[in-house]
Amino acid sequence: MRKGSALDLLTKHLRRRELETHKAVLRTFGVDYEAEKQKQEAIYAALQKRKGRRSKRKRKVKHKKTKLDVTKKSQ
Amino acid sequence: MTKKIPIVNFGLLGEENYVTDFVQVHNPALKRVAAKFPADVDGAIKAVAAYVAGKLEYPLNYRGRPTGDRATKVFKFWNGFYLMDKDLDYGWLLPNQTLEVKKGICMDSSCLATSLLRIKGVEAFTVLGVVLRTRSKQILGFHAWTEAVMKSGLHVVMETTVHPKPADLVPAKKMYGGGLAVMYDPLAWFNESVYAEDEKKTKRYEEMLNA
Repeated sequence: MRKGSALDLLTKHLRRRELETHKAVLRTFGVDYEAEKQKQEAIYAALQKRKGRRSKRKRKVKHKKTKLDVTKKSQ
Repeated sequence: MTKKIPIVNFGLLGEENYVTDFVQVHNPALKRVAAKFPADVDGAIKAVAAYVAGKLEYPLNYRGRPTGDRATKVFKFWNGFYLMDKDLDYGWLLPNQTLEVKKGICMDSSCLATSLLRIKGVEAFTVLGVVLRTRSKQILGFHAWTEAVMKSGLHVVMETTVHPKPADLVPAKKMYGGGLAVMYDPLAWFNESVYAEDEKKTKRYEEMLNA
């Protein structure tokens, strides 16, 4: 890519200014960025919650297994 | 004004393409989608705007921040190993890939819109440019959008990053002339066969950003 070209500028600066540009564009066209952001955060929070529950379940299963092993040994 | 078509390495795996390859007019999947749209120019423009807005989402990361990052794994097993696992800070999708993943940054969604319009025979371009605050002329950042020519000859700007309801089509003169809260300043235009870039303007912006 040629240095100093439009594509070069875009690559260099887009990432750094992506949030600010995105917010301004959405606001201009009547979209609420904060609502969109909250939706995404809610999805992530729900995912984390599900993950937490799953790991608790795993821990319980492990505990049961160890108990069983102990009884086997004692017999 | 430069007309030499640049090569970019923004493909899914960082592969090289001509920038014009990102407007796909011969892709069968896109042709199938475009076949559903009205044949008249104005109807096609409105239908494409509604389709891109409804089908795609802007990629936000887990914190809700927009992101152009990607991590690609190529699932080709060789003795139990992946042959490729590639992370990129920034990349573009080809329009048929955007259609498949249903997510895309400004460049991805505008190239999809331009491709669909070009398949319908509408005069359209993907435009790369700068977003400025209209009052203060402060540079907000870089952006890409689609510009299409209506039957009356009116050039309209299609903002393709607004989902799920399509953004209103704005006359290019209004958008570029400061008729809204932000104004777009185009630097380069391209479709499947042409590329044009305003070198003087680009250089001016580079100097401003480096100052």
